[in-house]
Amino acid sequence: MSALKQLKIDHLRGSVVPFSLAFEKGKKLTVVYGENGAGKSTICDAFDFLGKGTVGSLENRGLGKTSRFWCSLGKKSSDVAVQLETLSSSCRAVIQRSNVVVTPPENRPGVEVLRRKQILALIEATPSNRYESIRRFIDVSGIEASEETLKGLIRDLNRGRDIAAARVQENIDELRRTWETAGSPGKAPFSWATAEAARDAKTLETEISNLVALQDAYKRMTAHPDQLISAEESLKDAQNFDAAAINSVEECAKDVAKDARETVGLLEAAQDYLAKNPSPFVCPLCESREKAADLARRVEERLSKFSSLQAALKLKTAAEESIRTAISKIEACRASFETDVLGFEKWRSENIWPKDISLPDTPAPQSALELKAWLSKNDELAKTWKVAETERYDKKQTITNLAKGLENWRSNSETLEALDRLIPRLTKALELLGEERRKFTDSVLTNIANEVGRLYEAVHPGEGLDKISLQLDPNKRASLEIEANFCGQCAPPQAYFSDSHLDTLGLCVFLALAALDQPENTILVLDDVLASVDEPHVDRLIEMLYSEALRFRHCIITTHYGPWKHKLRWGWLKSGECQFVELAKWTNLSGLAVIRTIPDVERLRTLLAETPPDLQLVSSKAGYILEAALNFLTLLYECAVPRKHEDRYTIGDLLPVMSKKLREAMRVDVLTGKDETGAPQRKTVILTPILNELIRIAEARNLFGCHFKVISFEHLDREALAFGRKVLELMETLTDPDAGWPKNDKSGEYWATSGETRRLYPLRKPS
Amino acid sequence: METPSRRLAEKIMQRLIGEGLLTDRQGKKLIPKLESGKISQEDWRLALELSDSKEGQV
Repeated sequence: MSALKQLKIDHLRGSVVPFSLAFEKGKKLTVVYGENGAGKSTICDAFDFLGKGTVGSLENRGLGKTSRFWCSLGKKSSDVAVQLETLSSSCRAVIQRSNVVVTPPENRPGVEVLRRKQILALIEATPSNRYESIRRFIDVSGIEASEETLKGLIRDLNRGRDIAAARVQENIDELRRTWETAGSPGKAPFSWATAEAARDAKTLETEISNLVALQDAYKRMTAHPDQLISAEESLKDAQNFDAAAINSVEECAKDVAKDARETVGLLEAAQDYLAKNPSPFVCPLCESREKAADLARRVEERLSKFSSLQAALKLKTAAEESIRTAISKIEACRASFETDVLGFEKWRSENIWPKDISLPDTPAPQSALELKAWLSKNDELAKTWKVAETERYDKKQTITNLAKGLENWRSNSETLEALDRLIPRLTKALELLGEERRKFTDSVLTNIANEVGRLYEAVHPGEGLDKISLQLDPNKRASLEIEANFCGQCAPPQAYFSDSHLDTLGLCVFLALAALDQPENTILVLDDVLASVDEPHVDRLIEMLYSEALRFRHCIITTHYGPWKHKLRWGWLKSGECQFVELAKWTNLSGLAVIRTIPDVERLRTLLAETPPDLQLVSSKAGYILEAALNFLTLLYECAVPRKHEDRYTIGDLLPVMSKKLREAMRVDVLTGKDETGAPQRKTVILTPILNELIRIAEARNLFGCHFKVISFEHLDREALAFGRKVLELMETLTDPDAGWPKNDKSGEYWATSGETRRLYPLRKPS
Repeated sequence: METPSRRLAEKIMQRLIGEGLLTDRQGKKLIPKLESGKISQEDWRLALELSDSKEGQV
């Protein structure tokens, strides 16, 4: 990601007029200094707005939805715009329909903002809220869901395995019972059952079928004797009845004429004629008119004399019909009789019957009476066929059941075996999954904790408070505990740490988390986070922030911490990577405004390089810097300075107390580079002539009693220039723009800057 | 940014494949489902059974 070039803010919060902040090329840290109300937070809000689409400084102030307060007073949301230009691209954020829209979206920078009021949020939060802060780094809820699914599968399969095992046992028990019921044949139930199940059930089915057919054939014969005897008796009865009818007809015929039968026929024909022609004029037979009038009456009278004969004749006709019927029935019985007897005989003689089946010794007779006797004789024998059929049916059922039982046993055993193979593999997979998940989470938390400890140790070296640990509560979901080593014991830091220590810890936690997610693409914004850090630790905290800022794309630190401003202005801190920006007091007309952006030493260098130089400004700036340098040196060598209120010392107070012996002993070894072997190369600069020249100029112009602000009025033009150049020479010799001032006496021989780019001799003031 | 779930899913599958519980192909195929939590019981079962049968063939 390319370096930042310029931030433009239009009508967001304090930017009542468009404001722009230019970033110095090659510097990844920008310190924005300003007194309260200067607009520092507006700059932080602009980055928040651009990167996260929000204005964090307004949150948790009881304002509800804050977007209506994002614009400057008197402006509309549509007037708000933030634009960030980099060396290779730019992006712009505006408000559209209550949403922050960034174009082009792919250029939207990653931003992490920490504000002073949030600094303790992670430390003092509840474990669950603390977890939320770092969720994105350790949230493996998808994996946890997959783990639960696997757990559920194992649980279900274990249930299935229990069921399969119970079924296998049931199958074994059932086979054993069947085996015992069968009289425990063979050596063991399974070998017996297997052999039995392998038997061909078709033989039994054939035998059952033959036995059923044999019994049917036998049963069909049983009715025939009685039916035949009954039919023969009916024939006899019909024949007897016919004989009686014949006798009766003959008896009646004796009483009438020999041709009575023909006469009756003639009369009946006449009666039929007269029924159709009731009043004939003549006799239809002789055509006589005599007696024709009552012919019908007389025919009827004559016919009545023949009625008994007629009845006898009817009976005879009925008897003859009965004989015919009886004969027909006997013929049918006999035919059926013969068919069934032959059918039975066929089953009896033509099939091969098992040995346990007994059959009649003789064929079934063709005579009804003989058959009846034959059936009576074999009746008990026929009952054994039913028993044999039932036995075979039971046997067939047993074989079917055994085969089915064995199949179930095999199937359930296979299921059980498959589960016994699968479940341990699934269980192992679950164990590995859980192990990897815990290892992963622990690793992330340990890395964060170690990083927090490292940062914390940089600010509080040797205090033994660096053993920070972050742990997920195993008994609670999404709950993060934080502990630190305090006097050799693990304890929640918020219980024992001072406010200042907790602030540092909160800042370290934030930095550690911000650095986890692509810090090289992240703009880190720290809004006034130094406020509660005490003086002894602030230098180290600042140094730590300097070195950590290099890991990020850019780091913006806002502060109203005065000493930092002065240390930067006088170059007491490493400033090579730092851009210093001072904000003027905010007004509702001018909004945010930048006073300066470069340290005083750099400013002096710039003033001296101008053509023509502004000599008043040169004198004033040089005097200001010289005061700071003398202040540093007199403190370093513990020079006796008269006490004054508010430590407001002038050059006249500080320069004379640096004795001649001290000035003559002062020299600086300046690191100039390295030789071919990598050994450092240094040049020695004697400070005596520089300091003596500064004293001469001061004495000549009687500047001793003046503060730097009035020096400019006393200088001659040429001396002003010489004064400025000597101060710059002193500063360039004494300080390093990157490593600051020589403040380290660990060598025991000299004062050194970080990296020993400067070595200031002597270590102590000569006596 | 690669999500923690994705990074962990890859580690887990690597481990399961290394332990012979999953085939390389099945393991890689299941990473997105494992990561998102959308892996089903059938997915788990099938993958481990397939790997077991492959192991048996070897």
